[in-house]
Amino acid sequence: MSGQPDPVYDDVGSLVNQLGLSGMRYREFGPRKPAVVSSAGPAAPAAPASPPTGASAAPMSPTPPAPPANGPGAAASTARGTPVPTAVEPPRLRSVSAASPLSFTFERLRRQAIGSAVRAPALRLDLPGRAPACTADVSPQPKSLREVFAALEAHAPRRS
Amino acid sequence: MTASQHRRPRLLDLSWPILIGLSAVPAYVVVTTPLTLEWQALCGLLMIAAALIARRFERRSVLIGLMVLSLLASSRYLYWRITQTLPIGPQFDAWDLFLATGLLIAEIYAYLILLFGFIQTAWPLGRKPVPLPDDPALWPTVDVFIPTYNEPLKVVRPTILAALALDWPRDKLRIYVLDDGRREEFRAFCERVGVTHVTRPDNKHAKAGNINAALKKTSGELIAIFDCDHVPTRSFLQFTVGTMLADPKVSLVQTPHHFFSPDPFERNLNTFRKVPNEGELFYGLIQDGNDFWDASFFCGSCAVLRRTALEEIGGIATETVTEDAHTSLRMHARGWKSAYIAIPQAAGLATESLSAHVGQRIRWARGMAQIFRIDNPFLMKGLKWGQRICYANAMMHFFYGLPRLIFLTSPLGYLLLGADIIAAQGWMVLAHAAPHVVLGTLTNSRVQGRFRHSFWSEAYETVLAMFILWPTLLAFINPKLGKFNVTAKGGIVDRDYFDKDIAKPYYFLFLLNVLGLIVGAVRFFTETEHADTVLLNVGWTIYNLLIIGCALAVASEQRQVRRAVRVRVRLPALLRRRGSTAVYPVDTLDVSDAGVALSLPEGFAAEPGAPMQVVLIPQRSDVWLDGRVRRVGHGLLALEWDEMNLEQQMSMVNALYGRADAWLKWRDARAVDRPLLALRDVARFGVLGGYKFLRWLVQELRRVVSPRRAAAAGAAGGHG
Repeated sequence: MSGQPDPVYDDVGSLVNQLGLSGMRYREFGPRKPAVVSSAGPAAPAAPASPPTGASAAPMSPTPPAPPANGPGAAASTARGTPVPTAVEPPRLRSVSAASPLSFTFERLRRQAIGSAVRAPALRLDLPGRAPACTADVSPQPKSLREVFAALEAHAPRRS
Repeated sequence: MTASQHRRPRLLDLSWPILIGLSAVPAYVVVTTPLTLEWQALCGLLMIAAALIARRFERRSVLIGLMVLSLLASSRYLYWRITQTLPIGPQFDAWDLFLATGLLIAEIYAYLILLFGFIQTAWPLGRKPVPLPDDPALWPTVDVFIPTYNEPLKVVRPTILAALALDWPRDKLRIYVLDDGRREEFRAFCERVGVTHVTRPDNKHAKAGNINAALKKTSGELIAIFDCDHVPTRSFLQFTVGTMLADPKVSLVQTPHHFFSPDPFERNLNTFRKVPNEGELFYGLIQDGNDFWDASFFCGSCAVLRRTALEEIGGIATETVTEDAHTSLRMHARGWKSAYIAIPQAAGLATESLSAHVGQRIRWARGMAQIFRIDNPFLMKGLKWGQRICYANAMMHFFYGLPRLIFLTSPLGYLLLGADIIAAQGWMVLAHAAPHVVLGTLTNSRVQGRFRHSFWSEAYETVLAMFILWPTLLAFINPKLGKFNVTAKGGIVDRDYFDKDIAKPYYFLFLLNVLGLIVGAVRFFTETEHADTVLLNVGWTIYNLLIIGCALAVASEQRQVRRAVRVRVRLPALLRRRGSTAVYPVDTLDVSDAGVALSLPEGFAAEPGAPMQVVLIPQRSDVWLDGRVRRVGHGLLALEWDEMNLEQQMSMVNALYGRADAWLKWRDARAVDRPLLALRDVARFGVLGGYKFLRWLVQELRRVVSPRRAAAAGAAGGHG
């Protein structure tokens, strides 16, 4: 067991390598949903922690394949204590636009027009614990202007 | 790796019988030639020196030479004992002869077990898994049976969830929970997770009957059986089934029973993951050795069986309480083969208390004695001679109760009763016995060292000897005597206490040996004759006191600090505060059903009780587990899980128990056996156990003499 997490976690490969079972082949059948970690804002595509394998079959090689550069393996190898932004992170635009009531309004209207941009934070913030960490899983749901403003009011920074 | 690569080495070709034939005459001379004390001592020293040199070599042929040397020393000792040391003659009485005969029978038994054990473990096969065909359409259908009777759902649930995660085509895998408790809670859970809940109207023939009833209701080509607390890894089927496809005559593939919690020996002596536990010799070496002789047998769980083979013998055997070994014995007798893959692919809980452990071993002992009577492997038709020896040794092993007690009391016959149990001079006994004992110890250390440290067998057997004596004897007389008892799992020892019921037989043995030691010391200093014999018996008594002390130390139950068993394992994980989006990559330090310890991210601060979320192995799971901070600091963040929903439970089970390599490295952490260090350890525990027993005895005596003071002292000390 090493002090660092494996860039690509592969328990079967580890077993096969340790026992020298070079001719062994293995197939995955169960659902495998890696946690999604993205390093960009809401529009950036989320990258899985490792490539989903589905029902793939391959001879076990002695050395595991290199991790995807933008995958969580890369994220995991960052310095300890560095927070990694995820797909559920709400957009940071709110704090900027909140400086002017006018821009605030325009900003919100723009977001309503581009539904996907506002949808994720508004929904996810209410489901802290058990929601899958992937924006792609959420189907587009148009919102009325009243709902959007109500949500924004709830999450906007308070000004005394 | 193909089946042909598992062919046995050239041990059975013609050169070996010729070699044995040529060696017979010199061996006979070595065993039977009488020697004077000096020459015998020199001969013994030479044998020991040769063994000390030979045990340094890794080659299997040298090891077999070491076994032969050890057997020569033991045979010579036994020959001398039978021909020259029995108390027959006018100067001896019937009492001498009775005790001497008892000791001799015990020694012959030990010799046979040594001989059979060497044969059994001469060449562990080290079988590798066989790859499955590329096309999953060619893979067989598998029924997974999880029999349960009265175990709580919290014990069975991880097994069911892990079975659901087995990597096998969904259309070829069926999971059945065989619930002899017919519990509504189980039915509802099975329905919820999509497995079949199977019941029957009665509980006839216990677990064997339960499985047989399910066999009639199912149709999978292969049957994978897991005890309800044995949680499989996801790779279990892909690492076992290939062997059965490669050879259609293989009826059974067995894998080790691995335990991730300490058994009573390990907990009460604090030897968990330091000293190999009682079961490791069997699953680490003996089953692998059996496999060489095509005699590895079914152990009731963590195995795959072929339905056609089971049906041919009429299902799981129901005549004995160890239905597993009995079933595979019958399959072997019908010409079916078996295989053992020594890769832990499932794990479970060890028995929690010593009394439960003893109860389980009583069942095994009784069952093996029953098989020895009903289907004696020496007499049964259809078995190969290697199979006969392996099965016979497995069964005869459980008859150790009486021999062990004889060894623990024999010197007292001389010291306390004045009986001549060995009609020979003390130094002569030593000169013959020392090579026998030392070579046996050295050879076993070389053969078994990774799986059983020297002198621990005595400790394990001593604890159980008194309890399995009668069950084995009764079962041997009448196999129908006895009943099936379910081994309790998932309980907890919630306080320190001395299990006086278990230890009761050993009070008397310990006190008797103390008395023998005192009398021996007095005799040594007061008697002018036979000082060497007295000294020999005093030394034997001291050894016995240490072994009995070790048994008493095991009976001193230590409280389990935690309700859930924590598995020390480093897994990748993600951590975040609940409601926050900042995610920290961390490692687990240990994980259990109740909580997790994580490496503390740099600069991360949290208050006890703060809600957190964790993903275990984010490369495979996206399920956040909810928990609350229990402790933080010293580089560690300890969380207690909140109540989990089904998805979270499954994620936790898969991460903790379901990894293919989950239990692979456990054996590597232990030190290699060094007999003198092992003797020191056993002696240390013996002294500790003796001290604890005497302290407890003083308290009990105080309680009798002065109940009030004893109660006050007990309340102050908090000793249970």
